[in-house]
Amino acid sequence: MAQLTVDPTTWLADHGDSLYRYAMLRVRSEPLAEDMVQETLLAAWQSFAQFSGQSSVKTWLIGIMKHKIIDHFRKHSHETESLDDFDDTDELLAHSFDADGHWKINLINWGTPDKSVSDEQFWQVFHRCLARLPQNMADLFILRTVDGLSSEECCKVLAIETTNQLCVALSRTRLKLRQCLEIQWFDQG
Amino acid sequence: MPTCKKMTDLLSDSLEMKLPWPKILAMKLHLMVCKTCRRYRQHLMFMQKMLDGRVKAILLPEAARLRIKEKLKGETKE
Repeated sequence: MAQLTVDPTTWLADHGDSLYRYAMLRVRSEPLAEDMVQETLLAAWQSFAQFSGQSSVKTWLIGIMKHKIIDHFRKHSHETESLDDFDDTDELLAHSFDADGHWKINLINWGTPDKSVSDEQFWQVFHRCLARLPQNMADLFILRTVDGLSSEECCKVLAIETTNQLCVALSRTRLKLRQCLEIQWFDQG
Repeated sequence: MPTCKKMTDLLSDSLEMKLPWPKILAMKLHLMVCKTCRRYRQHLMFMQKMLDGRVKAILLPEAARLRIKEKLKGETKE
């Protein structure tokens, strides 16, 4: 513990991109994401005494930012789409599969990713779909699949008890995101 | 053989970890006979590829980094 550097500028250099990316994906505003990175690092510096050293500094910082994002959405819940944490996963499962677990919907052909990746409108739809996820699902998806935080670290930050629960949650998140993209983007022409 | 519903979990898990071979085999057999699950797999890979290509390119802009650095130095001075 005594060997750990208590230097927020080092944390900024090492984890600034990860924190900023996480904030950008959740709040979708450059100035706001920048503020959040700054506030997170200051809060971390002020509360460093509470850092147990059981997780990595990065996980600890992300945990602080997670709370900042929750606070932000609480304060501005009338301005955004994603706020009530309404989870319709069960309905989506019932809509997608019959009682024997077979698909009862058709999945359309999405073509190749190369075309959509440079399309700004696609990204607006993608962000809208991400914003529709319950907060814990959005966090999980971003931290695990975008930022590559390990399963163990994700469980710690998001208070998920087992890797198995994490895997199930990720699978449901992918199912929801896929469904949203299909309806909002691919099925529009 | 796993159901399609179970397949969505296995396909998602396969992006997370190396699955034991009996699960891989069961998954491959299912994919051979199920067009919809093959498409679901394509969609998962599509999403992952899009994210790799675009979202990972989101970086803290240099000007913002400098502003934050200055602020941190100011605020954390003893």
